[in-house]
Amino acid sequence: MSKEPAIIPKLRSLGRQTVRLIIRTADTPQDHVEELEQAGLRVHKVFRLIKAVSVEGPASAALKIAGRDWVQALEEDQEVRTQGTSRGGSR
Amino acid sequence: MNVAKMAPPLLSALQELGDGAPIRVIVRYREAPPPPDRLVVKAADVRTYRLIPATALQTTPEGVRTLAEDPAVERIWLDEWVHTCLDVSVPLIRAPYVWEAGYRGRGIRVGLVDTGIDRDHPDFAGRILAGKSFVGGDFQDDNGHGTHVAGILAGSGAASGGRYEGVAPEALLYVAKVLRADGSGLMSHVMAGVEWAVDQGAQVINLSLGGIGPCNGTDALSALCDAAVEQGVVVCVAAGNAGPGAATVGPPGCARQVITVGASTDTDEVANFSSRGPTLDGRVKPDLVFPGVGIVSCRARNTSMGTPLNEHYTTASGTSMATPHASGTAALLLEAAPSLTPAQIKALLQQTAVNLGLDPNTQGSGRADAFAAYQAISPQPPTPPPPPGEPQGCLTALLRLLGG
Repeated sequence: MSKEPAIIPKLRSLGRQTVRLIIRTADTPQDHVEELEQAGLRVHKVFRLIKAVSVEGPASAALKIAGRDWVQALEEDQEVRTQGTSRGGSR
Repeated sequence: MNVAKMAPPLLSALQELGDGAPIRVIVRYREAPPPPDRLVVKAADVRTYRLIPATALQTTPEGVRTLAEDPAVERIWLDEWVHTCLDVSVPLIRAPYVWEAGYRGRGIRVGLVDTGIDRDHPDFAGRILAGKSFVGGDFQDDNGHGTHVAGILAGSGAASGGRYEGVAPEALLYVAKVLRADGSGLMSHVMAGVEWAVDQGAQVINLSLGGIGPCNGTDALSALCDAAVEQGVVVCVAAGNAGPGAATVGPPGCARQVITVGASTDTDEVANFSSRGPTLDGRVKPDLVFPGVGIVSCRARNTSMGTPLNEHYTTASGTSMATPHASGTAALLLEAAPSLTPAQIKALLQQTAVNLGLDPNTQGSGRADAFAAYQAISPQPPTPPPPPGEPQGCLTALLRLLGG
């Protein structure tokens, strides 16, 4: 797990465009909700099973918090899909 | 064009296909079929039958029209996929033998994290304990996928006179809707759904979904699934449908502790589409394969996912369809031996799987066998009862064709 070096240049290139991210924290994620919101990110969910929060907001706001000590990893909140094929009987 | 010789599904297929597109047909001749090199059309993958004067071949729509004009040809059918109904795939993994021993998943709490469920489908009557949507609205299935998956896992077969019975037909369902009507959602939705299912007390969680691979298991969704396993929950995850290339398993299929499931056919081949390992960090995936090709299961009302069979059932393929066979099997084992840990269940299934003789990154440990896994934990292993009767219906088209 890392701060996903690839995502930093991507966030820079996106400027103020809205992104959805999952942020992994080194300690209790609830402790950082206020800071995330002050940075301009909307916190959608604070997870319990792992130390993580899902957020949405300008890429520039995400960049602001990317360097914080408590941020262990940043990753895009990627799309997932059903794993059925389009045809009933395809192999 | 001599349409009189063409079966209706073939005519429909010809209307859809472009001129050069490949099409597989079965050609019945009035007398003995010609040898492959004397066919009136250019054809590939030619197979001539012995019991009837017929040849299966691949040609083009133009080739089909030429064949229809041949006076020696009596009839031409589209070479359709034969369905692996639940009444075939469930016996294939020998779940009915576990039922005979008294275990049908009764009371086992299963989390279905998917597109929701058709709450009014007769096959789940009285067994949906709770549901929640994480993508807006309620948890009614507006795609059809979740209902199909749920039917494989825990359908009672009530709307089919018991024919399309799922693997654990008395299991209880907690339904987290995390994917929208188009079948997509975000990792964070799935994570929220898994957490909710764990909070509800789910003992097994089914994830017939995934992102784009490859992956190494450190992404947030995979990490959360592993955390759910550490809480004592069996988590079964689809390997993905990005095969047959190597390293095509997507998250959360790369999670270390989940059971990652590939898809096999009713003849124990691994489906071409089934994603292959290894993971980015070199681990073998999938862990196992289960049947996942042409599975008939529950259809949600007002949806047409797959190839609908009737009001209540539809046919679909994918590692999505293989995964609930695994979750249902886990539910049977948990009912039989409630103290089993997720790691023990995974190991049991792997140790008792039928080795298909394929690369581990294609088949995992092999095609799972629910009864063999049950026998391994049963204090007095029962002998298998006589094999169930001939499956009705699914193969009837083929039998009709052969004059049976």
